[in-house]
Amino acid sequence: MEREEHYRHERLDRGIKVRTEGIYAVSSWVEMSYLLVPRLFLILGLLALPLLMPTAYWQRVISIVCIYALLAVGFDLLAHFVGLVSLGGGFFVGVGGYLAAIMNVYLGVPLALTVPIATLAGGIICTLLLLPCLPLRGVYFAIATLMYPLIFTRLIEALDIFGGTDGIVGVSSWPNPWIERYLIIVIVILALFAIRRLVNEDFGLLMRGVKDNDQAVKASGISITSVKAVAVFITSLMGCFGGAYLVHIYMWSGLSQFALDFSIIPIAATVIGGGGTLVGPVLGTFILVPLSEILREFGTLRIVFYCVILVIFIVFKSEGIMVYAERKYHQFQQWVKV
Amino acid sequence: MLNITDLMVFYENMVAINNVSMKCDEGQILGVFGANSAGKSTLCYAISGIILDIAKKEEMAGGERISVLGKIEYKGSEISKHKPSRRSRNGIILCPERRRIFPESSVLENLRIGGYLASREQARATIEYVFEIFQPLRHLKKREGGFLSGGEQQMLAIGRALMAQPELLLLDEPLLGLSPLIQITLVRSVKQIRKDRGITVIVTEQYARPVLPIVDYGYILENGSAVLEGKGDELMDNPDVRAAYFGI
Amino acid sequence: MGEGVNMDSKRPLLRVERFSKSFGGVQALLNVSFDVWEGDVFGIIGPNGSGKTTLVNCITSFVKRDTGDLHFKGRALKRGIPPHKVADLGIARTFQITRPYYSLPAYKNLIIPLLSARARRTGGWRGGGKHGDRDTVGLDILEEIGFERDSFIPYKLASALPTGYLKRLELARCLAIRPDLVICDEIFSGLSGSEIATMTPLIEKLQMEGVTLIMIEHRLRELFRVANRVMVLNFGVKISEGTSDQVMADEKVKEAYFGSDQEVMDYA
Repeated sequence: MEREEHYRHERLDRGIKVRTEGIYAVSSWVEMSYLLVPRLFLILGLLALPLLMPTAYWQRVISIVCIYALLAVGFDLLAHFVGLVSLGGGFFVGVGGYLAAIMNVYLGVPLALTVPIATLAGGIICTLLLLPCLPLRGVYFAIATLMYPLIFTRLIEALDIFGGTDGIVGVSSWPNPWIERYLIIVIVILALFAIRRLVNEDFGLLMRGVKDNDQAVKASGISITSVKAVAVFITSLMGCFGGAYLVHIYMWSGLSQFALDFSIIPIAATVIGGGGTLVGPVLGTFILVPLSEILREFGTLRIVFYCVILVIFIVFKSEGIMVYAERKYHQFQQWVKV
Repeated sequence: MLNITDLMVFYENMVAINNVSMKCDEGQILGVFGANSAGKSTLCYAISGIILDIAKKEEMAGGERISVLGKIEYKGSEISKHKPSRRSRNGIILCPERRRIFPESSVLENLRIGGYLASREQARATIEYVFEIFQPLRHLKKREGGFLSGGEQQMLAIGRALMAQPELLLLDEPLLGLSPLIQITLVRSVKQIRKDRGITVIVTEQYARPVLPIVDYGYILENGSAVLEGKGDELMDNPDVRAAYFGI
Repeated sequence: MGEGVNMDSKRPLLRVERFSKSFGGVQALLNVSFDVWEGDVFGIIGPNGSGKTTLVNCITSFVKRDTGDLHFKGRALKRGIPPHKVADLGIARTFQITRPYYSLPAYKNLIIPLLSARARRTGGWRGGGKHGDRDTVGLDILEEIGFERDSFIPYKLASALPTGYLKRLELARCLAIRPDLVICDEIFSGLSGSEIATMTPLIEKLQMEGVTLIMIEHRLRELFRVANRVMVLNFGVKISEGTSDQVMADEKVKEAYFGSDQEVMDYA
């Protein structure tokens, strides 16, 4: 009987990937560079960015992008490693920002202290306030977290506290533009590597366990609410830091600290950049936020552009850029006869 | 009616179905037996076309690449490239592993959903038929699917499949996790359905003993390959097969 | 009534009294009471829809019982106690539909239970809880459970494992927290006769190590080889209790399980 020839497009790990797994990674320069080059590229690239920007305006944009990047990493951590879709980005930035502004303007606390205190206190406050939402599943958690920034803006407006609609002015600015540019970049790099390390440690496994199968985690005697709370705390630390940072850049804290942008951009950046990779969402913010600046002249029409880009990515490359890139880097394809 | 030639299915680089060739005549009850991960469910997905759906989803999400090669002929035409919706319109209906009934919909709603492809008269007649052969469901018309026991869910799943007016019915491990009484009842019902409606049935099972009496021809799958085939009693006489699949 | 293994000890390990639970008009359990003594392998059988899994869910608190009292090691467990607390006290359970951590390799699946407070307190199975290297202990537990150590199977992603191994993994997950009582929900389902035969010595070994077992099963023949006492549920009500012989001779059980179908009785 005639057997037809069939071919199949096979994907295999590259030889060098297999060789660099485990201790053999340090066996030669080629192997080590295979692992180090992407990471160096990331670090050096980020550090070089402010120098490459033509104007002070664009340098500031980079700082803003980095704040979004912190939010995006936090979102990715919660969504892809713990299974919680959080739309509370605006909440973290708002709480962190207002705390820093209140301390700085009403209490006279210097900048060097407002930022760390706002980060830590903000993290604790946000986690405590989000505790009731933790048992909620999926969509309901997302909706609940979205409510928080909205509630707070209305409260501040209605009660006319903390400056009301005018906001708090007179927040001290960063003493040195280079600190303003570089501190955030260093923090983003540290956060990326720290969280990447965390998800591979035992606690990271625990988080992934909660996402995969919370019933089994409960049946093993571990409270999943505690695990979720820790993850939310880490995310809110990053978000509150970003918020505190932001108010010192603009020297002002207002209702826009709770803006929906802070909640929506992380999710869009994750879709574009690739969820689960941590670096992907950062990449996503570096595409989306500058794009948003460039499109600013189109006014609200830029929302249409976002949506179109988002839809294109979801339909054609829903895995995201980084997932695709990682696969290309680690694997090759060949046609093989069956 | 169904002619499979050299079917191969790969999940990334892992062979799930390895050069399987199979034939099923009209009006037969064909049995496909095999241990866990022998490829029974993959075979059902391949025949019903769902594998193409799964492959597309995986591709879009950047997951593993699923490759399907080989020829599937149904009623004379080559259907390997046909979408599952087209295949179901042509009469290939899958009753998936683990029932997969809609837990929040009532029994009647589940059946009505299954009858999407049927005309109103056909749907009405089939609902009556389903309640006739699966008597317990008659009292459970309004009960939500999630509150049914395993056996009732399986009856509902088969009923829902019948609503789609199948000509080739694929039952993927229908007896999984059911008590002996229900198993025998279901097996008898399948035989009755074949007799009443002339439907060709392919049943996959791991523990073959309850199904054996009604099977005309059987294949044994092991690690994705068809290692043995024969008429029901031929398989029964084979001592290795008896020990492995019939628990004797 | 069947004799418990350790009936002379003062109190039963687990005492279930008058459990009742209804879901949306369906009475899943009605006044079910029974005792399990230390060292027992207690079987719970019954036709489909008899409420067996609901019973497990109520004992382990994944579902809140409507009424009834529960005592474990003499201590009363309240109705609303969270499920992880029940596990922390020493009751482990498997799930009818196996639930591994799909994205993790098999041995990493055990790290999570080894991280629990209970594992750290009791030392976990084979000492992984306090100071042991959890990866190694995970591999040890898997080996004990039947995963061949030198093969690549313990390193395979749980999503790639066949059913037989997944069932064992469920059991391993329970053992990692060093439980006093393990409730197996249809752990034999989906396994072939020979696969079950290889699991039976494992159950006997667990018994010898002091683990008490409750096993919900449909595979009666295989269950009766290991169980010393059996309880039968039908439509949420206990209809019989005793040794496997006593229970199978009971007319009520035969009626419920097999109807009056001779063919079915021969088959089972």
